[in-house]
Amino acid sequence: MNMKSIITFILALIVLGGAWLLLSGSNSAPLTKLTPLEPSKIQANATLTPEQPVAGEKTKLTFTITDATGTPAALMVHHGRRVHVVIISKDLATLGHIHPQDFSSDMAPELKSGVYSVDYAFPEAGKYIVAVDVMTDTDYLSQEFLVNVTGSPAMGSVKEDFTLSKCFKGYQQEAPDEYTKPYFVSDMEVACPDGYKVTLTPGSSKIVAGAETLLRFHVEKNGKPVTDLTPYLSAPIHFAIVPESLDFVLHRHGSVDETLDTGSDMKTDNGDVMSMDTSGIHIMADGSVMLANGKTVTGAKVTAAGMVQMPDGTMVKPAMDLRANGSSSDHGDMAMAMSSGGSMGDSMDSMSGMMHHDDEVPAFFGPDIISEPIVFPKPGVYRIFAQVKHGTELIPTDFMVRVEQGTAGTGVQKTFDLTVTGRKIVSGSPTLTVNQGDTVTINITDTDEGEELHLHGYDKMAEFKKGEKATITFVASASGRFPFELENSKTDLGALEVLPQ
Amino acid sequence: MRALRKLIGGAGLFAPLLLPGVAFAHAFGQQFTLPVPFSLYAVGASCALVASFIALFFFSKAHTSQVREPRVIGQLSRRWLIGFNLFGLFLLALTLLIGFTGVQDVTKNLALIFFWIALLLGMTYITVFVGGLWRLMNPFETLTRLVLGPKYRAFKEYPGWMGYLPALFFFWGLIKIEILSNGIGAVPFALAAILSSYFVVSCIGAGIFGVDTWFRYGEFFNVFFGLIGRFAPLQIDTEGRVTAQLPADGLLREVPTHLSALFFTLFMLSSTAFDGLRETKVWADTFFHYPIIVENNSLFDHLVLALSPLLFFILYGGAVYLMKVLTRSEHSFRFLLLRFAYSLIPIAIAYSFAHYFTLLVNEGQVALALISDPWAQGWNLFGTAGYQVNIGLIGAKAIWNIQIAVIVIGHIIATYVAHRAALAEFKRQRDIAIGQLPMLLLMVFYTVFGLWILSLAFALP
Repeated sequence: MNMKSIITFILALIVLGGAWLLLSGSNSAPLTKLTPLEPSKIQANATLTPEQPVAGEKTKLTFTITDATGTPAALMVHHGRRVHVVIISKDLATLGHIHPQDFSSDMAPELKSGVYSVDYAFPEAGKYIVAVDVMTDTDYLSQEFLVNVTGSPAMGSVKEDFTLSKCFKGYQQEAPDEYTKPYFVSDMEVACPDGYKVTLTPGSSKIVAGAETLLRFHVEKNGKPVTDLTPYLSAPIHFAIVPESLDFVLHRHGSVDETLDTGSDMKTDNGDVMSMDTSGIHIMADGSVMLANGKTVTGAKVTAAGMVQMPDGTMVKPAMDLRANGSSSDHGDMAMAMSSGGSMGDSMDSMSGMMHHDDEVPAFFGPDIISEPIVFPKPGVYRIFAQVKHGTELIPTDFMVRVEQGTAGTGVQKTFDLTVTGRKIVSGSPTLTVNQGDTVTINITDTDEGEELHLHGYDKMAEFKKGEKATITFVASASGRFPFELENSKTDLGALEVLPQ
Repeated sequence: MRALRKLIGGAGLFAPLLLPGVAFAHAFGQQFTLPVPFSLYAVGASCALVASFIALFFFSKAHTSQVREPRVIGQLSRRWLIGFNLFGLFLLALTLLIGFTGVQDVTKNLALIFFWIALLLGMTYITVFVGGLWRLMNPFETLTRLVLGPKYRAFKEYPGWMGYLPALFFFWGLIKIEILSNGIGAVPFALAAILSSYFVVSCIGAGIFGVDTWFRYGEFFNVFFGLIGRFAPLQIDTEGRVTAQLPADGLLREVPTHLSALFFTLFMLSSTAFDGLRETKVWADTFFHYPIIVENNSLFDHLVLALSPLLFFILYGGAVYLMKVLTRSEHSFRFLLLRFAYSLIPIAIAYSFAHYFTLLVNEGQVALALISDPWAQGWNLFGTAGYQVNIGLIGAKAIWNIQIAVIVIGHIIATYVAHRAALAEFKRQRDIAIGQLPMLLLMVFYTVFGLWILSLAFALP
């Protein structure tokens, strides 16, 4: 054999190998399970029927949700549903937000088997991220899957648009089936001043990876601030935040802007000022007004805007409005907090005491909503899908932001899980070593008592209840050795050592 | 003051007795330094060693034992002197006022920072460059003079055997409050009470022995800053005369006459070393598997702190004794002990600086915010109330380099001072060269020991 044939042989091998790699790449499994951002004891697996989804055709997504031992997980209702499924395309142009519960009048079989399914017609060929959010009374899981869809049309590339003030049209959710229809971002955006004008203001001029950011939303219609937004799935706003790289979906919520007056003083007959917590006031189905202690307030009136006028004339925002559709109001779209599926779920959950973890949300609020602190784990382009509700209309907003590299951020994630028993770390190391610039997450669970974790220097605190997990996340921008302790009992637990770059 | 972080535990215990309902959120005086990596420690130790031998070679050729007189470069007017007096009084008054009436929270009370950080650290570092400033300001002295009046005569002569012993006793008490008091020193109210009592004690001491004598030998702050100030190139005396000299010349001009001055210096070294050591893993591993120590932890700490200057003295005494033997010097052992005592001061300053300077950086920033709102009333006097502490102002690497550099520089200056002292006391060339060898080895040991402490891993809770 001469040299030439040896070289030819080697070249042939390389070409064949490359071709095999290419082919195997394109033949990769249609469903890939990603590693969750936060570890959880809950397990979620998924299957597709048909196994290879085709664009525009209905695909059944089946999720099996178990605990660590493989038995069906006892899922709780959070934000109105037991299972939330969010599906976003690689071009960040389509979104689906589906709940298996909406397709089963009786959830019992699913609860027993731990198997939940939804139908979805992936609109275009390409890659999608499917995120499943579930919760038990002790744990929370956000599990993502990647799905490859074949067929046509193929999806395009990401269109960059960093406008932070846009107009969106609201849409009615009439039948549950509406949920299975993906909506295209482009279909929802309208030319201003039509529709709802929504302005996103990030808490800082620059969003930095690893740092906590607040997103403020301001909603206007016809040039006027909308002050009677209604809760959607027990929260003022829902976020699905996804990076261009499609590694994860952050499912976050928000609260009514705290600068608003949420409480009101009420004067009693003898002139004493009685502090009244508005969350305690309910508007009952028959239009009467009831206090948290179950006593009916005589002489209180319900206004058209859903506010309660107390006997002394003060206006109070009720915690809950249980009136039927349009019963006592001539503003159809305002009094219908109850009319849509979402709100019905909310009130039923609250009434039966099954709600968990959801803060009280006023029945009406606006025009400002503020997100919980959100940490964008890594730099890059993100799409922020946010859903707000106004009467029966869902306002699906979408914005694109660029998240900058933190000044010293390495983008490396370091997560530590600590379990404390008897004020001592029984699982996890007392010395947490990271490199400067790493994004550090410390999860702590105390099996004995409620306490507060305090990391000195960075001055991060996290309160937790007995047996519940608390988390602090930050970018370790400063090097040094930072002790952490149980704040209330002044118990040294250990130290975070941030090694300099 | 690394140990001040421990203060908070005790502060929490103490506070309810004193002021019910006071909450303490964080520790005061917490340091965020990482142990110096072994490689840097090795570099520092080698530098000290090499520098010592270069010094040995180089210094043995230098023949001047002459210490030049300081040059007068200026005179402060009476107004300035009164100004310093008033400034000192103002700071003490402010410290007491904020201590007694301010928020009893370790992170929000300026009195703590005034005393532990600004005075004990800040003033020390200033005094390294300008000696005598504290003497001009000392509010305890000013007040005592006011209380006793200008015509006051002591009714008892200060006994010679006491030397600086009262000051040394207060020094020991201060360190006890700082690191072994379970946090009383970080309770603003308690600190103010302690400072008030100290003023009363000063009045009694001055009342018995006379103001001049007491504030020369008995009063801690004057003795402490007086010793450190000897190093300074600029000096201001109580008459306002400003003089300039070569740095460290002041350490050679006078030989202390009382061994308490030596022990005071050794305690500066040993208390810092003890504070650093007791937080390390090596310390815990060495001592904390004996049940008797674990059970009597506090007693053990007090014992070690009290004995620590003796341990340093045994080494120092051994070196001086060896020096006497090698040079067959006619000077007494006691004289030689005193003659070289001040040469340890540069090492003591370097130890202290390396261990504590990050506190000045961090707590100084806290002070910047507090100064605008000393009583947490929502004021913003100087527009700095919203200042947020930047813990990354000096990175760990920079801290390591500063620590090593300062300790090595302190070492070099100390060897230089010891050499000059040897030149002055030994006549023959051979004695000068051989005589300073033991002292050089001792200093190398102290320096490497200081670096070693900085390189040790911390004990786990």
